[in-house]
Amino acid sequence: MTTKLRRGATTIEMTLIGIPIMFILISTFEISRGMWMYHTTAYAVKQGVRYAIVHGRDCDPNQPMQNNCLVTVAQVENVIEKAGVGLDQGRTKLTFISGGGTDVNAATMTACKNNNSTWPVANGIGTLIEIDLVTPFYSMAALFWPGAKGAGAATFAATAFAASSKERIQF
Amino acid sequence: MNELQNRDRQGADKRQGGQAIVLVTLALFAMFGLMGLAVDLGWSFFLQRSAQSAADAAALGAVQEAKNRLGASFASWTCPGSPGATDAWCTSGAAIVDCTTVSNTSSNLYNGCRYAVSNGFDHTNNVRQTVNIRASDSTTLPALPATASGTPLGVKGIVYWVTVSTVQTVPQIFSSMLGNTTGTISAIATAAIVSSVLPGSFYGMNMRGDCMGGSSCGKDIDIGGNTTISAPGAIVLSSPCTGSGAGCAGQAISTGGNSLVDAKSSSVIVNGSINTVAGQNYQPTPAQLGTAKDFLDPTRGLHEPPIMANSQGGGIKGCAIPGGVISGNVTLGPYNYFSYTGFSNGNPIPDGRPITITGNATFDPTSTACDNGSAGAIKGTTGAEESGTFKSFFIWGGMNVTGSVNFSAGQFFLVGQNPNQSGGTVFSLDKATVTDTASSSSGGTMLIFTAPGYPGMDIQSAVIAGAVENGLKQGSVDMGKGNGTSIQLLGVTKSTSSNPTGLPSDLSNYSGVALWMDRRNSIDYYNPDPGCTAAAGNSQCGTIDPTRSAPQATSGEMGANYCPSNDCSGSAVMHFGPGDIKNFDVKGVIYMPRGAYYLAEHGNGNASLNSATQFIGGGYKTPSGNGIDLTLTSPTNPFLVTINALIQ
Repeated sequence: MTTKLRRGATTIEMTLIGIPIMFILISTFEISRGMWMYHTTAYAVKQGVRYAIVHGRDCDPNQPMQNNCLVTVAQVENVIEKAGVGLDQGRTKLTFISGGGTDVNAATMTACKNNNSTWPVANGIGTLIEIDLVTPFYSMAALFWPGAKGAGAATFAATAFAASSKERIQF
Repeated sequence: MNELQNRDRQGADKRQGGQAIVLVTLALFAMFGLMGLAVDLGWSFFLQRSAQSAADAAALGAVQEAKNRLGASFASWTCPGSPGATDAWCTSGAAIVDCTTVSNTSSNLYNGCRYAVSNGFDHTNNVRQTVNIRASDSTTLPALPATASGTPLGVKGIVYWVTVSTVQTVPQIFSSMLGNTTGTISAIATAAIVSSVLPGSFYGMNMRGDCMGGSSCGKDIDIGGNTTISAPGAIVLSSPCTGSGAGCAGQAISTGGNSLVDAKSSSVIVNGSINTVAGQNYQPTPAQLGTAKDFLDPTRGLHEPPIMANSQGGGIKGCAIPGGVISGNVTLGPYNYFSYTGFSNGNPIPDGRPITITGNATFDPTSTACDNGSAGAIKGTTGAEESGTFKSFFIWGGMNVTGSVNFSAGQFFLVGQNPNQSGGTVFSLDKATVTDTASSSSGGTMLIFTAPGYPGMDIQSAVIAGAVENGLKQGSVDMGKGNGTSIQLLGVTKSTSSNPTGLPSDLSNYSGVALWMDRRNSIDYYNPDPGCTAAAGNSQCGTIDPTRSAPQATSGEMGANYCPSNDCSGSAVMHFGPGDIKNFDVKGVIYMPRGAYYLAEHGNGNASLNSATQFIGGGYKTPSGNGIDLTLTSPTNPFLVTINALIQ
């Protein structure tokens, strides 16, 4: 009788200790994973934009220098993809802006792979170009906030990471 | 039994207590792994950005120093065998060299390595950091520069390039628990001195106090009526005027009536701010996007285009035309053309009249004809037949065309006008047809509007007995006096691999130039030519007034003699209209110095200059009610500037 009671007490103890331990563990995991995503997205868009700014106007084969280094949306996406290990390509959305005009509006990376139009569209030396990236982040931390905004059928709430980089065309 | 139960109980407690430790211990591996991702990877990303910045700075620093050393003389530059402190340095055979071995402080690569140090890559003290550098010209090793994996960059027109790669090993904190004690990050950057297309379609260079015809001061575009200026590239306006103040009659753009300035998908770039006020129409809204250097003359650093015929070492033969009139169908070779009346000691006496073409004249660089030997045309006996690949033609006293003229590959110097004979113009088209049979492979055509005193011109006048240059002055250009003028020209084209026989390298810096107005033909004090800082007589400048900082027209040369619509500015005017210009097709660049301007007026209804042209000049002005539209399309033969740029 006493043993059973004591065993019951340790179960309760374990439950009481376990919940915060799980919380701490999951939080550590998720914050780490979140930081990783944060760095990755920021790095990936930066690489993508840098790639585009050194393949700008003067790369155009129709210009008199007949250079052949113009790049397409798909090629820029490829750079982002290589730099952004672990990005969910079906759900990560890219927006390409050049000279104030939106050339690709929130298309998934998968869709961008098939976009063989040249970019930047507003392609002058010194023109500001920008890539925005939004990727969903499905976090287990949402377990602790069941009421947090859901992601449709998914059990875990989705928040999103947004990263953006803006630079002027160099060449 | 009780004891046993107690032991059991204690054992159970211990087992249960150990669960959390085991759980946490096991979880620690996963935790460290994930924290490794977050912390170590994050740190690596940060370091990678630093490495990229260091590589960018090093490559650009080395190239900038090289460009400073080489000045503007890149035409056929290759890596020097034993470079000095004024050369650009290459790595031997484009070998990849560690910056620690670049110790010669007179090398520009040493500068590059120092830039890496300044940007956090201290290869001299930090054993974890390495900076590699390689540099060469574009002709020695055509497969370079290349990406890290060896793919060529596909960029032509590179004079000199520097590739820098930075590598750093990064000790890991959390990841080392899973066996990764170090990580490696790297970055690569290539900068080059490279040809680049001048980005703008229209450059208005007038500044505060620069006027167009005594009015429109401080304006770069002053249009009215229904006039539209539209351009696919940027419209760059240098005036800092924001509406009022000394030297400003208004803002840099003045669009009266329903006139419109439309940069299409590009920008209207202004030096001063523009107040958006009612009645001012532009698209997009002008913005201060540039820095000071963007508002300087795009041709700065270049002398006046050199005379190709001077490579003969002397003057080419003269061709004297009686009264200057050329009628009928004639072919004209590359000579010094001038009008004459009468003879002195058997030599024709230059009379200062313009060459007037009433028939069909064809300038042919391969011809040796001087007006086909028609009555009275006399080819001189002194001077040489021109032997260069790209020929020069000199038309002393300017040219009036009422018939048709065909240019082909070469430079055409319209040398001065006699105010008593020409009404102030060095080139006048009246119901004329101008065609151009030059092709990009033959080098294109360049018309230069100038006066005696142009650098190297005296060798040419010396072959003519009698003072051909007497009384000739700078003049304006009149395109389309009467209705029906048609102009088709191809500016000079820079040689690329697809047209290797094109332009001589001496003219390669003038790519695209179709019409060039002598910089002396402006009353403005500005100096786009670094060779003209010396006193009068400097061979790069022509004859200049030593009291002035820049070569320019002497006061009164221009204005009193040529005042279209009572417009006497004292600087050159390129006057479009008032006749109907039925065709305007100039594939190239029209250059006039700051202060000189375009005046586009149309007598009856709409007219348009619709062409793949880049306009560089002081400004563009139309009368308030009957201007000519300027509809520029994407330039097919643009001006090329040599820039430093990151290309990888």
